[in-house]
Amino acid sequence: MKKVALLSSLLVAGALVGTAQAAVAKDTLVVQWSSDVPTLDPSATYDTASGAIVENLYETLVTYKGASIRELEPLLATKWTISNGGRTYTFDLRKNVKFHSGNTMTCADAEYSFERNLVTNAAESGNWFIAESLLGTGSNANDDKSITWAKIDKAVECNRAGQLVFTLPKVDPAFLSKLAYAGQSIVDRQHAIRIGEWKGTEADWRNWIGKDLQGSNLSKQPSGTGAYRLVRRDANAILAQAFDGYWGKKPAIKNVIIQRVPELAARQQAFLRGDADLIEAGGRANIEEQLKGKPGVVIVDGLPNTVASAFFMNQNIKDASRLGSGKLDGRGIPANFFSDVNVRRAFAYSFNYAQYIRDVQNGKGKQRTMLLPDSFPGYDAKIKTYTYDPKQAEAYFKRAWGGNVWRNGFTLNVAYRAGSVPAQTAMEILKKNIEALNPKFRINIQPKEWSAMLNDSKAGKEPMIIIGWAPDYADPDNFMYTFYSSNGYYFPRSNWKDAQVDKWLEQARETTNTATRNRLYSLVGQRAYEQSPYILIPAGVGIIAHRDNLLGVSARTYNPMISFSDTGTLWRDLSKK
Amino acid sequence: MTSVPAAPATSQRRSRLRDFLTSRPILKLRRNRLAMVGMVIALLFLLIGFFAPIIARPSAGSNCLRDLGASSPQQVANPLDRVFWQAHFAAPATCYAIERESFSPVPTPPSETARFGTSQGYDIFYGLVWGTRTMFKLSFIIVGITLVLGVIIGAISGFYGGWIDNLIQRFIDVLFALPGLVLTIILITFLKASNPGIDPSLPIILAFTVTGWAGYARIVRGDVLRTRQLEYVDAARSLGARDPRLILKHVVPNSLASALPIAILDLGTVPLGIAALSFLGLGFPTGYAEWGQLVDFARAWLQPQYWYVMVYPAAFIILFSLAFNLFGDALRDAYDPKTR
Amino acid sequence: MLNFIVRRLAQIPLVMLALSVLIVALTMLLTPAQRAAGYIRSDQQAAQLERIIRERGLDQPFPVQYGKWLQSTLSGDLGFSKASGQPVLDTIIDRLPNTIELTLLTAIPIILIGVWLGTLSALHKDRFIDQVLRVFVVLGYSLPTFVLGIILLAVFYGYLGWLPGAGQVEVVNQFAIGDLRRYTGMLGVDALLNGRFDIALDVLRHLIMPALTLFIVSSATILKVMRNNMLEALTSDYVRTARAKGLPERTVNLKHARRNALLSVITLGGFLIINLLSGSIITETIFAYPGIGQWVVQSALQLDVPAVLGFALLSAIIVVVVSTLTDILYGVVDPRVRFD
Repeated sequence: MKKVALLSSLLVAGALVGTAQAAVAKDTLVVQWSSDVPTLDPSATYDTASGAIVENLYETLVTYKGASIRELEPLLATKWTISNGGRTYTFDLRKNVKFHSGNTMTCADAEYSFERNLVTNAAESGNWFIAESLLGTGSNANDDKSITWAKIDKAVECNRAGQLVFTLPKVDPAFLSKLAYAGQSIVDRQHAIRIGEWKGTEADWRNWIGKDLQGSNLSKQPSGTGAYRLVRRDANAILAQAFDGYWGKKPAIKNVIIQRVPELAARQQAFLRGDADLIEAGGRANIEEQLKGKPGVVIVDGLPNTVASAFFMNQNIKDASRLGSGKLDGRGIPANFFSDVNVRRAFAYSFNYAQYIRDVQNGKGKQRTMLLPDSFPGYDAKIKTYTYDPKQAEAYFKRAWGGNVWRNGFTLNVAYRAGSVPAQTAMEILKKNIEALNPKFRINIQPKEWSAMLNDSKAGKEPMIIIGWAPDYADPDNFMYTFYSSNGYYFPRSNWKDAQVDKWLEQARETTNTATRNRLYSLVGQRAYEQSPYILIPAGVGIIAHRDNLLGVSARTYNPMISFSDTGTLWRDLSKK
Repeated sequence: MTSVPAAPATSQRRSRLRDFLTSRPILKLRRNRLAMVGMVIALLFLLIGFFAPIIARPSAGSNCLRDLGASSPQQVANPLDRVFWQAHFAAPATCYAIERESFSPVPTPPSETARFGTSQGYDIFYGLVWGTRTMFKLSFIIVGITLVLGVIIGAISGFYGGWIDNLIQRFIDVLFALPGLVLTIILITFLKASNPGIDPSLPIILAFTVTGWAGYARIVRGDVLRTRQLEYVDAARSLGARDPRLILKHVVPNSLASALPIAILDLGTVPLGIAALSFLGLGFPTGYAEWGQLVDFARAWLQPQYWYVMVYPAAFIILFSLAFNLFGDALRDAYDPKTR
Repeated sequence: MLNFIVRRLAQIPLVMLALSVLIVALTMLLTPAQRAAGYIRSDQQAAQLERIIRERGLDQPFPVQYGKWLQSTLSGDLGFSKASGQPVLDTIIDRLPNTIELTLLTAIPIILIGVWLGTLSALHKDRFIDQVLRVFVVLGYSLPTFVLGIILLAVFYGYLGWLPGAGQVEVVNQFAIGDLRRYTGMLGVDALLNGRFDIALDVLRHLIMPALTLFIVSSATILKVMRNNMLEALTSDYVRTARAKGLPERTVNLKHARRNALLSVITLGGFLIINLLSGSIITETIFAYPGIGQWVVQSALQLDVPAVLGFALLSAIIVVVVSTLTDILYGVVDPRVRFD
């Protein structure tokens, strides 16, 4: 009796550990990510994970042409005209487009989508920049009482011919690229109202102001015009299927599964065994050491990177407790330590850019001339860059603060966002080089929780931090104004103000002439090189790994503005052999 | 009676020591060979922790040496030098930063400079050795505080009874209604978020104290309830002993017998708890000498060719845990009234 | 008896209330801006920090904020969890059955095998089988969950490729799940009830490693306690009496000794369930198993306050219910216990 039991349990065990595994089917794309997806409601989409799904379920009026980030082409629109001195945009909409619910898309849906974004404009969402274009302020009606229903209603309207008309309070050269953002997708009005979203009228608009839509009913039951429709979403997987009623070409891949697998090792194994076609691979070092050259793995390297990061040198540190002695006596720094351009240049000459590229970016990195991705319009490759040069650094340190820096030394307290390995490493490299210059130079590095970091840096309390910016839309203003203007979002962190730069940046906002704008941005970049308000961190070069039976992934088709950065394309452009 | 001869006192002490060593629980413990092996290994770990500055000597040019005021690494190993004493008894914080061989995340195999190889650019050997020190330091502090707190609160609860007892016990119920790990995680994240830049050990100590004292309090309370009824306590009370004195002199020492073996076991489990936390990405910043994050680093490099990033930290942790469990378990059994 | 149950269950709301006050009070350690950071993910969104504070009333005093939370909770709205991207209640409904499935699959073998081996070990005291089992016990005790989990993952998934490394079912079955009629929410059980044995087997395959991890760590405790109790019972007076009466050895061992030894295992069983819940936190994280533990770690790390509060409420229910059940069961087995 006992033996039988033992035998049968062995048999069961054998069946359980059997190695035979079904490879991923030809019509199914399996993707494994470490993080979860916060929302599937376009209006609340303001992160890449949500964007990567939303951009495939929904569609925008215009989109980027192929891999280009400078050229836009119509998607749900068929054409557009700009009139009234650049303040009126009129869109012809595509006919015979069906939503996943079966409803046909009309101009009313487009009007509803934009008005919904303007009405709710929750603080967590990315609707502030469309509101800036259409209402002249990034706020919603709760925060800015000048916003009325009439104002929202007038900003976006359908005319008699069924065209969508936007009326802008002033010229905005970035308006079209803002429309390409997945958050500005067209949603299914009838469906949304039926499941309990905003009714689209003045009657209940007040109830929806500032409403956080991340968990909205529409997020649970999306209905877009995209090539894929949501089948199911649970704790660890999102399943989408090709939409039969799609207006465009039928996609080659029928099923898409996004799995959440937090463990990197588990993702790597699944990928190497062919159980996943694409994974979040954990960065260049992991891809090159552990995936490259393995059977069935294809590496695509040299992809554009659209994040710009820098050391911020705060010229007006507003927290005495971070200053040590608060004097140049070797045990601290004065609050305006970085206001001397010699200090800033000395620091910029002390960072070992080549070592950072070699160690952190596995040899693939690029020093940019300004805090703008090199693939963006307005980037000027001819501006000079700083190099690691201890001699120059020493010379500038000797000149700084009348020689007191070199004579007395300093102790600088810097912080990085806890868990950010690249930021920590960059700071350690800087620390090592600066402390090697003079034994009286000391840098203390400490991690800070993000929640604390956000506010302290915003309040100008941190002497030195590293932060980056990823584009909301492909316009240089999104970077240049953010970093360099004294009205920009990052100003309180650096407190660097240059009247000339401010003027140039405002001018660039007021014209749609590309040549003029490019010239203005070059001027800003040149001035920033001379004044050195930031230490520019080399930009990594993008790399992805995919299974060899997945087709349609290449550097030629990779668009950095697509949220699905696993391939830089929409799912509908992929196929498998 | 003004001067007491010294000799009898020492002999008395010696005989007390002999009494202790030949007491039944200790005899039982001494007979348990595995427990003795465990004790030896645990002591070895203790020595590793204490002599970390010599075993994993900070290299020339490191911030650790700079802050010690040493000009060469040899000074750390020289007992005649002030640096030796400072390194062993008051090592500056920079010594607890694992030495970094490179800034590249790719592991490098064991070599002259990094005996156990590097993980994420950090010297595994240095991290494990100084990590032992971190672990013991925290472990002693945490167990010390929780033991004292637990004994005091448990004694009060058991001795006075009534509403005090009720209040304390209900509070413990509430604490126990949340898994200890979750409570610890919540406390640490909130404490760290609200006090940016705080010494990373403080939230850990506080969180483990909050979750740890209740266990001791329950045990001590039970013991107190038992000893309270013993005759000598009554006798002391009838002789006019006051409550605090009574608790301290008569009730507490008796209850300690069951709390102490658990405390010794906890000296081994607390470091594992801390390691588990940093494995989850909580507790210490990256690069601080402790064990959990070295295992965490290994998660991304599980292939056989990177065996060293996994094997050394895992072996270290398992050996440590094994040693404390062998010894601590036997100790607890030896003092367990049921198996006596 | 009924009275006893009602009285015990009446504790649940009290414990919930106390826990939630405790946690909301902890969040008040943070500044409004720090609390607001719990609602966003990117530097971009930080531009809107002030708006978030205003819109969510994060700058209001403690009683107001607590009152608001209480009010919405009483109306059935537990809020939105940033960590899961779902309302808290939906997250619990989705994930709790998964954790229960894992816990059941682990707890039953742990208790059965633990009791069986513990008995075996005691009956063959100091013989070969006992020695082997004692080594297993010490190892099981000493292996921290996170180290064991990673080792299993590296060996059975990374190296041998026998078992799946993450998740709940294979990709091919992801779509099929949608067609299942859900009776219990536990995927494996529901698959069986639907007659989809292939899916059930798949779920089971994914459960092996997490379950094994928990099993190795937890069964050691039961085994050890069972062995000690059994040894104690075997030497007790009434077992000796039974033997003296000439009852067969097997009857004495099983009927008299084991029955008695089981008593404390029942208490331990209650602890075990609660311990498994917290053990599953790390296990679920390692094996990417979509349970409640994985979620709570993420929520705590991200300062996801609604999620943490939701979990605390759930935990209070589980802990009180399980301990009440344990007490009742104890009473059933041991007629000496009276519920009054």
